[in-house]
Amino acid sequence: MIALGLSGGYHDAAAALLVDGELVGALQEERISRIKHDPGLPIGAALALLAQQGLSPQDVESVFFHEDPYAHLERVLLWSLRSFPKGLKAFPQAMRKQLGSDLWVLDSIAEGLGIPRSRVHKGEHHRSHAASAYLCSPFEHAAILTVDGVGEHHSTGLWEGKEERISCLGQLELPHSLGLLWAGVTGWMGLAVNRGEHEVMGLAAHGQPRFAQVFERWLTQSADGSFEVDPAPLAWLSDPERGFGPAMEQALGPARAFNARWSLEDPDFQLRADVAASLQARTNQVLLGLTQALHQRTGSANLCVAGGVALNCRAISHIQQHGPFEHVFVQPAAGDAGGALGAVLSGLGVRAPMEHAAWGVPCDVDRARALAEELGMKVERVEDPVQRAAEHLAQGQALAWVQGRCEWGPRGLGNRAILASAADEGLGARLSTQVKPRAPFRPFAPVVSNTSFSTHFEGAPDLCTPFMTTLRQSRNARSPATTHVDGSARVQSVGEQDVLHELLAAFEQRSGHGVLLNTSLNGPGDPAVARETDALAWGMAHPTTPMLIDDLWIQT
Amino acid sequence: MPVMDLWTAAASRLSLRSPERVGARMSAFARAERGSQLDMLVAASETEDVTLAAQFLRHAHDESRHARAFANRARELGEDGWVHADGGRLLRQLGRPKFLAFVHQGEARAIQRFVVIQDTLVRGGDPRSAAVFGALLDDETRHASYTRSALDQHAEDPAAELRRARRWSLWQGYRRLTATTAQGLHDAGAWLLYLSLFPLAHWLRWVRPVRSGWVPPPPSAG
Repeated sequence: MIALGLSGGYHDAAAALLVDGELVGALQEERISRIKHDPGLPIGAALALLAQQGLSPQDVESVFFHEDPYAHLERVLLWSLRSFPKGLKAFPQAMRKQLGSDLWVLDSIAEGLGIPRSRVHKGEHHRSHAASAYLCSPFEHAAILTVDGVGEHHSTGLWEGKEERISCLGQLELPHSLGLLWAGVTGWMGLAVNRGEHEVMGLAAHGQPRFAQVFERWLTQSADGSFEVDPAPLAWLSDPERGFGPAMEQALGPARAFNARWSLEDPDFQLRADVAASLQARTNQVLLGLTQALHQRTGSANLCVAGGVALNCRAISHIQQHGPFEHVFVQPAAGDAGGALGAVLSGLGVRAPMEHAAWGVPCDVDRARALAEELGMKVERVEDPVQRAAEHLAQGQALAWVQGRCEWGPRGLGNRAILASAADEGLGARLSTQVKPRAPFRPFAPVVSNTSFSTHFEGAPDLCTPFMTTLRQSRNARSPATTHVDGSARVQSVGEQDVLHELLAAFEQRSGHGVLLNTSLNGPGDPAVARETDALAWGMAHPTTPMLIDDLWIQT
Repeated sequence: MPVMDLWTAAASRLSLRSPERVGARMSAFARAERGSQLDMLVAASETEDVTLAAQFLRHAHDESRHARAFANRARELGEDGWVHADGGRLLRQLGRPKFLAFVHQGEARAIQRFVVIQDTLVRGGDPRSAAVFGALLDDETRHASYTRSALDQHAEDPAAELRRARRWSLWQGYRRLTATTAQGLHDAGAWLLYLSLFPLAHWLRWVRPVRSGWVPPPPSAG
């Protein structure tokens, strides 16, 4: 049985491929189209996964789409009318998108893959999220929390997973949406809605929650965990690209200019950081309330979280520290991309416990060599790539590291990465200005082996640390480039089976330090590298940083 | 001066008559260059011929630089500098010969337009913006040249491919025009529809009120 799961139409389109009930690949469309957060249909990703397995689209027996396009249209119409006349500006655009593409998405999938329409099935947005978390977890029984902007009608769901079955315990409908509140604040920060939320999370560490009362007023919670969001400061219906309305500016101050450059010296930097900290603190409280309610209803010791809000590793860490669950699991593509995986697992009723994130496409090393030579790059096959890389890193240099298949989810988890010594603050600063430009308040992430995890970070590795979906406090000050101002770090742990484990050991032997800086291999505004052409394109733009593709040492 | 150049010059004088308009135009060029970069990157990944794939990668690298140059100048002129563009799978859609012909024609056209716009900007007293165009001309000339050589190498009848590519470009232009017209008509219709649904809005608020608190799953849900 060959089955595909697909998600798309809004942002982060993705495909997941199962063969005889086994997960064999999962990939975001952006890695193929090179359009960051590609909202289109994931036909390119699906074809790439099929080709990798030597299959053609005609071999696919079932395709499961992650949501129900008809219920989606109903919600758009319902809310356009409910909010009359505020929806006047956005109504034509919303209907263009619905009637022009979204409504026919199942037909478009069949056409794009060249298969009969009868093989394409619709799913349910939050059930797909729930399945993406629970059916990929190692648990036989778990509570499941799904939280995002909005699916068809719902923004939040409580679920229970037992063996292969997932039951819905209750859902919250629009306008009560944590994701849309985050979207509004993201827009107010001058960041792109649905893209910049992680920057707001990063900014929170720099602030104090002095706007706590404002967010307590906008986001109220009942004893049963359900919450309500005041729609007044938001404008997701009338102005979805900004996401916020005049009421937000009245309460928090004027919005920041869109895409303005950040500087820690800006007079209003602290205001923005304090707003971010206040939103983060209120989000932590509300999510904790949700998990407590969920624990009471399921009695399980295990929690799975999915939906865009699950990518907020600060909140996940808070749940781990203060929540009632012994084990928490968040898979690497917890946002809408994960819906593709959840849709197919849920559709087939199978489990695929996830132990690594390397489900994407590989690099063709022979072609990489031929192309690099054609481009005039210096190419060398090295005997021991790990030792060569460790030696280079120990000399205080950065390295582009390309090994195996590209990662599933937004994080670089050691297969497509820029690596450097985490102990070298100057190198971190150089990376963030010259190699990987980013807002000055965002640190890089560290990677450490399971065996020396506790030496450098509080606690032990858990189910989230291999996927960088949580935070830990750093134990020492030797990793300034990867430690946030509040001492937290979005750390990745790697096990002995991982080649990165070997590299960390070799690096520690040479440098006396067992932590590496690890950031995804991509240029500003670009998706992470997937194939050899992407890797070499990155290399052309960054000629001072060498690249290791498998055992090929490439210097542009 | 050829008719097209006269037309470009007239259009440029209109569209570049204030710093705000120049900024907006720079943003539009940044998006176009970014879109072209994505086309070339995807084309490189889909091209088996290593020499041609490497040329596409070099081309993509140049387009990335061009997009940055336009975006930076746009930012200096007060635009937000945000560059987001869609790329296509043009190579797969058109096939290699027609793709090469299409890119060649686009680059040749860009050279003509850039020269005219550069001249307009210099005359209008904006040498900094003019310099952005001037700095890209060598790249555009190289792009036009390699795509022409590749077309001669990979197409059985290069002239026919150029004709096909020109027809395809015209057809795309026509489609854009009709899509814009249809969009205008649709939006006007949608606004009228929205306004006419006013009574239904009141009725909906009554029959489908906003729900707070946990909504139980429907009985059929698992």
